[in-house]
Amino acid sequence: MLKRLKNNKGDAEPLFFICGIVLALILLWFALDIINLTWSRYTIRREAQTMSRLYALDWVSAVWDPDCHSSTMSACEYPNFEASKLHGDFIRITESAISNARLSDMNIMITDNEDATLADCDTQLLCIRATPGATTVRAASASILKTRLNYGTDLYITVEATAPYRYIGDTLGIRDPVYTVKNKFASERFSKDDMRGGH
Amino acid sequence: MKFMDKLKNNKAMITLNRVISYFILVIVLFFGIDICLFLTQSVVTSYQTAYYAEKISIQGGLLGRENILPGPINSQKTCNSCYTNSDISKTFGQTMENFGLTPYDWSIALIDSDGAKTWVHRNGTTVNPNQKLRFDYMSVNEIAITTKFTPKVSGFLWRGANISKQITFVSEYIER
Repeated sequence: MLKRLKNNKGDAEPLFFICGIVLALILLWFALDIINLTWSRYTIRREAQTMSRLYALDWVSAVWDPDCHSSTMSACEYPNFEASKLHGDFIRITESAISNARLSDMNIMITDNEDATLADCDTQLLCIRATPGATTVRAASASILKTRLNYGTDLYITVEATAPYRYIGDTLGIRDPVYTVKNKFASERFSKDDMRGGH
Repeated sequence: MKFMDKLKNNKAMITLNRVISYFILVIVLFFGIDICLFLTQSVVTSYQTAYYAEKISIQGGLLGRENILPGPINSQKTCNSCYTNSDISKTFGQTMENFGLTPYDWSIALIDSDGAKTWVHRNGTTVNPNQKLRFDYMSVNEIAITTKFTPKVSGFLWRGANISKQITFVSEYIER
Protein backbone atom coordinates (compact mmCIF):
# COMPACT_ATOMS: atom_id res chain seq x y z
CA MET A 1 0.00 0.00 0.00
CA LEU A 2 2.90 2.35 0.77
CA LYS A 3 4.36 1.67 -2.67
CA ARG A 4 1.02 2.58 -4.21
CA LEU A 5 0.93 5.73 -2.15
CA LYS A 6 4.43 6.65 -3.30
CA ASN A 7 3.65 6.14 -6.97
CA ASN A 8 0.46 8.12 -6.40
CA LYS A 9 -1.93 5.58 -7.83
CA GLY A 10 -4.36 6.55 -5.09
CA ASP A 11 -5.78 3.18 -4.14
CA ALA A 12 -5.35 4.01 -0.48
CA GLU A 13 -7.65 7.03 -0.65
CA PRO A 14 -10.90 5.21 0.22
CA LEU A 15 -9.17 3.46 3.11
CA PHE A 16 -8.06 6.74 4.63
CA PHE A 17 -11.49 8.17 4.02
CA ILE A 18 -13.21 5.32 5.84
CA CYS A 19 -10.71 5.67 8.69
CA GLY A 20 -11.67 9.32 8.88
CA ILE A 21 -15.36 8.47 9.02
CA VAL A 22 -14.78 5.91 11.78
CA LEU A 23 -12.75 8.47 13.71
CA ALA A 24 -15.55 11.03 13.31
CA LEU A 25 -18.09 8.54 14.64
CA ILE A 26 -15.85 7.76 17.63
CA LEU A 27 -15.58 11.47 18.36
CA LEU A 28 -19.36 11.88 18.16
CA TRP A 29 -19.84 8.92 20.48
CA PHE A 30 -17.25 10.44 22.80
CA ALA A 31 -19.19 13.71 22.74
CA LEU A 32 -22.21 11.80 24.09
CA ASP A 33 -20.04 10.53 26.91
CA ILE A 34 -18.79 14.00 27.72
CA ILE A 35 -22.30 15.38 27.89
CA ASN A 36 -23.40 12.52 30.14
CA LEU A 37 -20.38 13.11 32.32
CA THR A 38 -21.20 16.81 32.56
CA TRP A 39 -24.74 15.97 33.65
CA SER A 40 -23.50 13.40 36.16
CA ARG A 41 -21.06 15.83 37.74
CA TYR A 42 -23.62 18.60 37.75
CA THR A 43 -26.13 16.30 39.46
CA ILE A 44 -23.53 15.24 42.06
CA ARG A 45 -22.66 18.87 42.86
CA ARG A 46 -26.31 19.81 43.02
CA GLU A 47 -27.24 16.91 45.29
CA ALA A 48 -24.30 17.81 47.53
CA GLN A 49 -25.73 21.30 47.73
CA THR A 50 -29.27 20.03 48.40
CA MET A 51 -28.04 17.70 51.14
CA SER A 52 -25.88 20.30 52.86
CA ARG A 53 -28.73 22.80 52.71
CA LEU A 54 -31.18 20.28 54.14
CA TYR A 55 -28.76 19.33 56.92
CA ALA A 56 -27.93 22.95 57.76
CA LEU A 57 -31.59 23.93 58.02
CA ASP A 58 -33.08 20.74 59.36
CA TRP A 59 -30.54 18.60 61.20
CA VAL A 60 -32.82 18.76 64.22
CA SER A 61 -35.20 16.49 62.29
CA ALA A 62 -32.65 13.72 62.82
CA VAL A 63 -33.52 13.92 66.52
CA TRP A 64 -37.00 15.39 66.91
CA ASP A 65 -40.20 14.88 64.93
CA PRO A 66 -41.00 18.26 63.32
CA ASP A 67 -44.71 17.41 63.32
CA CYS A 68 -44.80 16.62 67.03
CA HIS A 69 -46.49 19.30 69.14
CA SER A 70 -46.13 17.80 72.59
CA SER A 71 -45.22 20.23 75.33
CA THR A 72 -42.59 17.73 76.49
CA MET A 73 -39.67 17.81 74.08
CA SER A 74 -38.49 14.36 75.03
CA ALA A 75 -41.81 13.00 73.81
CA CYS A 76 -40.96 14.33 70.37
CA GLU A 77 -37.61 12.60 70.17
CA TYR A 78 -37.32 9.82 67.62
CA PRO A 79 -36.53 6.39 69.10
CA ASN A 80 -33.65 6.07 66.62
CA PHE A 81 -32.27 7.79 63.54
CA GLU A 82 -33.83 5.25 61.17
CA ALA A 83 -37.26 6.44 62.30
CA SER A 84 -36.50 10.10 61.62
CA LYS A 85 -37.67 12.35 58.83
CA LEU A 86 -34.08 13.13 57.84
CA HIS A 87 -33.26 9.45 57.33
CA GLY A 88 -36.03 9.10 54.73
CA ASP A 89 -35.14 12.41 53.09
CA PHE A 90 -31.50 11.47 52.62
CA ILE A 91 -32.37 8.08 51.18
CA ARG A 92 -34.69 9.74 48.69
CA ILE A 93 -32.12 12.34 47.59
CA THR A 94 -29.35 9.76 47.29
CA GLU A 95 -31.41 7.28 45.30
CA SER A 96 -32.61 10.04 43.00
CA ALA A 97 -29.03 11.19 42.38
CA ILE A 98 -27.81 7.66 41.68
CA SER A 99 -30.64 7.05 39.26
CA ASN A 100 -30.53 10.40 37.45
CA ALA A 101 -26.77 10.68 37.18
CA ARG A 102 -26.41 6.94 36.43
CA LEU A 103 -23.84 6.44 39.15
CA SER A 104 -22.48 3.05 40.13
CA ASP A 105 -21.88 4.12 43.73
CA MET A 106 -22.01 7.19 45.93
CA ASN A 107 -20.55 7.92 49.38
CA ILE A 108 -21.50 10.99 51.35
CA MET A 109 -20.10 12.23 54.63
CA ILE A 110 -21.13 15.22 56.72
CA THR A 111 -18.79 16.12 59.52
CA ASP A 112 -17.69 18.97 61.75
CA ASN A 113 -14.08 17.81 61.48
CA GLU A 114 -12.34 19.45 58.53
CA ASP A 115 -9.61 16.79 58.42
CA ALA A 116 -11.94 13.80 58.32
CA THR A 117 -11.78 11.65 55.21
CA LEU A 118 -14.25 9.17 53.79
CA ALA A 119 -12.32 6.43 55.54
CA ASP A 120 -13.65 7.95 58.79
CA CYS A 121 -17.18 8.18 57.41
CA ASP A 122 -18.78 5.77 59.90
CA THR A 123 -17.69 7.80 62.91
CA GLN A 124 -18.82 11.21 61.65
CA LEU A 125 -22.11 13.09 61.95
CA LEU A 126 -23.67 11.52 58.88
CA CYS A 127 -22.49 8.77 56.58
CA ILE A 128 -24.29 7.51 53.50
CA ARG A 129 -23.10 4.62 51.37
CA ALA A 130 -25.13 3.83 48.31
CA THR A 131 -25.19 1.68 45.22
CA PRO A 132 -28.16 1.35 42.86
CA GLY A 133 -31.00 -0.12 44.91
CA ALA A 134 -29.10 -0.22 48.22
CA THR A 135 -28.63 2.83 50.41
CA THR A 136 -27.51 2.83 54.02
CA VAL A 137 -27.61 6.00 56.10
CA ARG A 138 -25.92 6.19 59.47
CA ALA A 139 -25.91 9.20 61.80
CA ALA A 140 -24.28 10.09 65.07
CA SER A 141 -26.45 9.63 68.13
CA ALA A 142 -28.88 12.32 69.20
CA SER A 143 -26.74 13.21 72.21
CA ILE A 144 -23.72 13.88 69.99
CA LEU A 145 -25.76 16.02 67.58
CA LYS A 146 -27.20 18.03 70.47
CA THR A 147 -23.82 18.78 71.96
CA ARG A 148 -21.73 19.33 68.84
CA LEU A 149 -24.13 21.22 66.58
CA ASN A 150 -25.37 24.73 67.06
CA TYR A 151 -26.20 27.78 64.98
CA GLY A 152 -23.14 28.66 62.93
CA THR A 153 -21.22 25.43 63.51
CA ASP A 154 -18.86 24.82 60.59
CA LEU A 155 -19.74 21.66 58.71
CA TYR A 156 -18.18 19.86 55.76
CA ILE A 157 -19.80 17.64 53.19
CA THR A 158 -17.76 15.24 51.07
CA VAL A 159 -19.39 13.42 48.18
CA GLU A 160 -17.51 10.77 46.27
CA ALA A 161 -19.27 9.14 43.35
CA THR A 162 -18.35 6.84 40.52
CA ALA A 163 -19.75 8.06 37.25
CA PRO A 164 -18.70 5.61 34.54
CA TYR A 165 -18.76 6.58 30.89
CA ARG A 166 -21.66 4.92 29.16
CA TYR A 167 -20.34 4.61 25.65
CA ILE A 168 -16.68 4.71 24.83
CA GLY A 169 -14.79 6.76 27.37
CA ASP A 170 -13.90 3.94 29.75
CA THR A 171 -12.65 1.87 26.83
CA LEU A 172 -10.17 4.61 26.08
CA GLY A 173 -9.23 4.74 29.78
CA ILE A 174 -8.48 8.42 29.74
CA ARG A 175 -9.83 9.43 33.12
CA ASP A 176 -10.63 8.33 36.64
CA PRO A 177 -14.41 7.71 36.89
CA VAL A 178 -14.42 8.71 40.59
CA TYR A 179 -15.53 12.27 41.19
CA THR A 180 -15.20 13.98 44.57
CA VAL A 181 -16.83 17.16 45.81
CA LYS A 182 -16.08 18.81 49.15
CA ASN A 183 -18.02 21.82 50.41
CA LYS A 184 -18.02 23.83 53.59
CA PHE A 185 -21.29 25.06 55.07
CA ALA A 186 -22.71 26.07 58.42
CA SER A 187 -25.55 24.89 60.61
CA GLU A 188 -28.48 27.29 60.55
CA ARG A 189 -30.36 25.72 63.44
CA PHE A 190 -29.84 26.16 67.16
CA SER A 191 -29.15 23.16 69.32
CA LYS A 192 -31.93 21.82 71.47
CA ASP A 193 -30.75 23.69 74.57
CA ASP A 194 -30.97 26.97 72.72
CA MET A 195 -34.40 26.17 71.38
CA ARG A 196 -36.44 26.25 74.56
CA GLY A 197 -39.94 27.19 73.65
CA GLY A 198 -40.27 24.96 70.64
CA HIS A 199 -38.61 23.82 67.46
CA MET B 1 -23.12 1.18 -21.17
CA LYS B 2 -20.06 3.36 -21.04
CA PHE B 3 -20.10 3.21 -17.25
CA MET B 4 -20.39 -0.59 -17.30
CA ASP B 5 -17.49 -0.76 -19.75
CA LYS B 6 -15.46 1.41 -17.42
CA LEU B 7 -16.33 -0.87 -14.52
CA LYS B 8 -15.26 -3.90 -16.54
CA ASN B 9 -11.94 -2.41 -17.48
CA ASN B 10 -11.52 -1.20 -13.89
CA LYS B 11 -11.17 2.48 -14.85
CA ALA B 12 -14.29 3.58 -12.93
CA MET B 13 -13.38 2.05 -9.57
CA ILE B 14 -11.84 5.21 -8.16
CA THR B 15 -14.84 7.28 -9.28
CA LEU B 16 -17.23 4.79 -7.70
CA ASN B 17 -15.22 4.74 -4.49
CA ARG B 18 -15.34 8.50 -4.34
CA VAL B 19 -19.10 8.61 -4.86
CA ILE B 20 -19.66 6.10 -2.07
CA SER B 21 -17.20 7.90 0.19
CA TYR B 22 -18.81 11.30 -0.34
CA PHE B 23 -22.22 9.78 0.22
CA ILE B 24 -21.07 8.37 3.56
CA LEU B 25 -19.48 11.71 4.39
CA VAL B 26 -22.77 13.54 3.88
CA ILE B 27 -24.62 11.01 6.04
CA VAL B 28 -22.05 11.36 8.84
CA LEU B 29 -22.22 15.13 8.53
CA PHE B 30 -26.02 15.10 8.87
CA PHE B 31 -25.78 12.73 11.84
CA GLY B 32 -23.12 14.96 13.40
CA ILE B 33 -25.31 18.05 13.06
CA ASP B 34 -28.21 16.27 14.77
CA ILE B 35 -25.97 14.94 17.56
CA CYS B 36 -24.81 18.51 18.23
CA LEU B 37 -28.43 19.69 18.36
CA PHE B 38 -29.32 16.76 20.62
CA LEU B 39 -26.48 17.60 23.01
CA THR B 40 -27.48 21.26 23.10
CA GLN B 41 -31.11 20.39 23.82
CA SER B 42 -29.96 17.95 26.51
CA VAL B 43 -27.86 20.60 28.24
CA VAL B 44 -30.62 23.20 28.06
CA THR B 45 -33.18 20.71 29.40
CA SER B 46 -30.82 19.88 32.29
CA TYR B 47 -30.30 23.48 33.33
CA GLN B 48 -33.94 24.37 32.85
CA THR B 49 -34.89 21.47 35.15
CA ALA B 50 -32.52 22.81 37.79
CA TYR B 51 -33.89 26.33 37.34
CA TYR B 52 -37.53 25.32 37.77
CA ALA B 53 -36.60 23.09 40.73
CA GLU B 54 -35.09 26.15 42.39
CA LYS B 55 -38.04 28.33 41.48
CA ILE B 56 -40.64 25.90 42.83
CA SER B 57 -38.51 25.29 45.92
CA ILE B 58 -38.54 29.01 46.74
CA GLN B 59 -42.26 29.51 46.10
CA GLY B 60 -43.07 26.26 47.91
CA GLY B 61 -45.10 24.56 45.18
CA LEU B 62 -47.68 25.53 42.59
CA LEU B 63 -49.51 28.83 43.02
CA GLY B 64 -52.40 28.12 40.66
CA ARG B 65 -53.66 31.04 38.62
CA GLU B 66 -52.43 33.96 40.78
CA ASN B 67 -48.86 34.68 41.76
CA ILE B 68 -49.70 35.20 45.42
CA LEU B 69 -47.68 33.40 48.06
CA PRO B 70 -49.98 31.55 50.46
CA GLY B 71 -50.47 32.37 54.11
CA PRO B 72 -53.19 33.34 56.59
CA ILE B 73 -55.60 36.09 55.54
CA ASN B 74 -53.86 39.49 55.47
CA SER B 75 -50.51 37.75 55.32
CA GLN B 76 -50.63 36.68 51.70
CA LYS B 77 -48.08 38.40 49.57
CA THR B 78 -47.98 39.13 45.88
CA CYS B 79 -44.83 37.77 44.34
CA ASN B 80 -44.27 39.26 40.92
CA SER B 81 -41.32 37.06 40.11
CA CYS B 82 -43.13 33.86 41.10
CA TYR B 83 -44.62 31.64 38.42
CA THR B 84 -48.26 30.67 38.09
CA ASN B 85 -48.91 27.25 36.56
CA SER B 86 -49.45 28.86 33.16
CA ASP B 87 -46.25 30.90 33.53
CA ILE B 88 -44.27 27.69 33.99
CA SER B 89 -45.72 26.26 30.78
CA LYS B 90 -45.30 29.55 28.93
CA THR B 91 -41.70 30.30 29.88
CA PHE B 92 -40.48 26.74 29.44
CA GLY B 93 -42.31 26.55 26.12
CA GLN B 94 -40.61 29.73 24.93
CA THR B 95 -37.21 28.21 25.64
CA MET B 96 -38.09 24.99 23.86
CA GLU B 97 -39.41 26.88 20.85
CA ASN B 98 -35.77 27.66 20.08
CA PHE B 99 -35.32 23.97 19.35
CA GLY B 100 -38.44 23.84 17.21
CA LEU B 101 -40.43 22.03 19.89
CA THR B 102 -44.20 22.43 20.11
CA PRO B 103 -46.05 22.30 23.46
CA TYR B 104 -46.84 18.66 22.65
CA ASP B 105 -43.16 17.75 22.66
CA TRP B 106 -42.43 18.23 26.35
CA SER B 107 -43.93 17.63 29.78
CA ILE B 108 -43.36 18.81 33.34
CA ALA B 109 -44.36 16.94 36.49
CA LEU B 110 -43.82 17.40 40.21
CA ILE B 111 -43.42 14.47 42.59
CA ASP B 112 -44.05 15.19 46.26
CA SER B 113 -42.40 13.60 49.29
CA ASP B 114 -45.00 10.80 49.29
CA GLY B 115 -44.25 9.97 45.66
CA ALA B 116 -47.52 11.40 44.31
CA LYS B 117 -47.10 12.85 40.83
CA THR B 118 -48.76 16.08 39.74
CA TRP B 119 -48.60 17.01 36.07
CA VAL B 120 -48.01 20.69 35.40
CA HIS B 121 -47.86 20.44 31.63
CA ARG B 122 -48.80 17.49 29.45
CA ASN B 123 -50.36 16.83 26.05
CA GLY B 124 -49.66 20.35 24.82
CA THR B 125 -51.29 22.31 27.62
CA THR B 126 -51.14 23.30 31.28
CA VAL B 127 -52.95 20.41 32.92
CA ASN B 128 -54.79 22.45 35.55
CA PRO B 129 -54.06 26.21 35.64
CA ASN B 130 -56.01 26.56 38.90
CA GLN B 131 -54.33 23.77 40.79
CA LYS B 132 -52.45 24.84 43.89
CA LEU B 133 -49.91 22.54 45.44
CA ARG B 134 -48.20 23.19 48.78
CA PHE B 135 -44.97 21.50 49.72
CA ASP B 136 -44.18 21.42 53.45
CA TYR B 137 -41.16 23.40 54.57
CA MET B 138 -38.05 21.20 54.29
CA SER B 139 -39.86 18.42 52.46
CA VAL B 140 -37.92 16.69 49.69
CA ASN B 141 -39.66 16.78 46.33
CA GLU B 142 -38.75 16.18 42.71
CA ILE B 143 -39.33 17.80 39.37
CA ALA B 144 -39.31 15.72 36.20
CA ILE B 145 -39.02 17.30 32.78
CA THR B 146 -39.06 15.38 29.53
CA THR B 147 -38.42 16.88 26.10
CA LYS B 148 -38.66 15.07 22.81
CA PHE B 149 -35.79 15.31 20.38
CA THR B 150 -36.60 14.80 16.71
CA PRO B 151 -33.70 14.66 14.24
CA LYS B 152 -33.72 17.68 11.98
CA VAL B 153 -31.62 16.40 9.09
CA SER B 154 -30.86 12.74 9.78
CA GLY B 155 -34.37 11.44 10.38
CA PHE B 156 -33.70 8.67 7.88
CA LEU B 157 -31.12 7.22 10.28
CA TRP B 158 -32.88 7.39 13.66
CA ARG B 159 -36.19 8.45 15.13
CA GLY B 160 -34.76 10.62 17.89
CA ALA B 161 -35.07 10.19 21.63
CA ASN B 162 -36.72 11.52 24.76
CA ILE B 163 -34.51 13.58 27.06
CA SER B 164 -35.65 13.04 30.67
CA LYS B 165 -34.21 14.95 33.60
CA GLN B 166 -35.28 14.59 37.23
CA ILE B 167 -33.97 16.68 40.10
CA THR B 168 -34.73 16.71 43.82
CA PHE B 169 -35.27 19.93 45.70
CA VAL B 170 -36.08 20.94 49.26
CA SER B 171 -39.04 23.24 49.74
CA GLU B 172 -37.83 26.42 51.46
CA TYR B 173 -41.02 28.41 51.68
CA ILE B 174 -42.31 29.00 55.20
CA GLU B 175 -46.01 29.74 55.32
CA ARG B 176 -46.66 32.45 57.87
